[in-house]
Amino acid sequence: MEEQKKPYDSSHRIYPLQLLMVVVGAGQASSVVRLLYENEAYMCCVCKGRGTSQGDVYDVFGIGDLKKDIIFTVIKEDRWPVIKKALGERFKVSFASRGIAAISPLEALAGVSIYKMLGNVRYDEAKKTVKPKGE
Amino acid sequence: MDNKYVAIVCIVNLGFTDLVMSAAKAAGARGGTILNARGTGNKDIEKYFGVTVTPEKEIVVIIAETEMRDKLLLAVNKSAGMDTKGQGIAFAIPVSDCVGMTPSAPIEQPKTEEIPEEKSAE
Repeated sequence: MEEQKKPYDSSHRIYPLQLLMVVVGAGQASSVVRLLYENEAYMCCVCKGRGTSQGDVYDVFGIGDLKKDIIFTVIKEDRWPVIKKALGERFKVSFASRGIAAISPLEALAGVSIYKMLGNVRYDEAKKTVKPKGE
Repeated sequence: MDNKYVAIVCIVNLGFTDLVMSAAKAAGARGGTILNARGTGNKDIEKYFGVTVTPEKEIVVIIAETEMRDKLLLAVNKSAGMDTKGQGIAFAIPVSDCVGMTPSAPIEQPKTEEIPEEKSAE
């Protein structure tokens, strides 16, 4: 008779995950991505986009549209204060480094493996749950 | 859960983002971000004509205060909603927290002028 597996959350603390969207000027994505990887983000998706103009005067001169880099990533909720502080400091550096970041809670995930991947659960933590054969 | 901000997402046909942004700005939004995308809905067009038709779309993301949510959604839906050529779908996503937003001026409430009661001539 097969041993019934215990639910993952019975032996592990579950961190709620948040979808983080960061909008920065074109060319700024790599430094933001580096910052996110330092804060346990597993993957970052960088998209090219454009911002909307600040006013009609810019539109008249044809410089209304501004190129932007949009970064999507998933982070653990407890990492957000650190990331928020780091991004806030970065946005203040200069006019070119200005940006905006927002987090939105994830409602559900397709399984524990996806949680482990997106939450960047460490390998050593995962190893504790798997019993070697023969035990 | 009360969030201070929401992200208004509007998916429209290519070339209708200006319409969305002008409506959103008129409703109180300060700016937005536009992403290029493509739709996957209508496969019949591709089959009928025998050529690859890429339904190009654009996604407008506007982060705004929660109290402006309904006003923005209505404005966007009116200018580029499903009934228009923009064929836009607009929805709001809760934003738990935000960094980089410049504080806005408080939303002005429409002033109601007090009309003095006319005294009936007795």
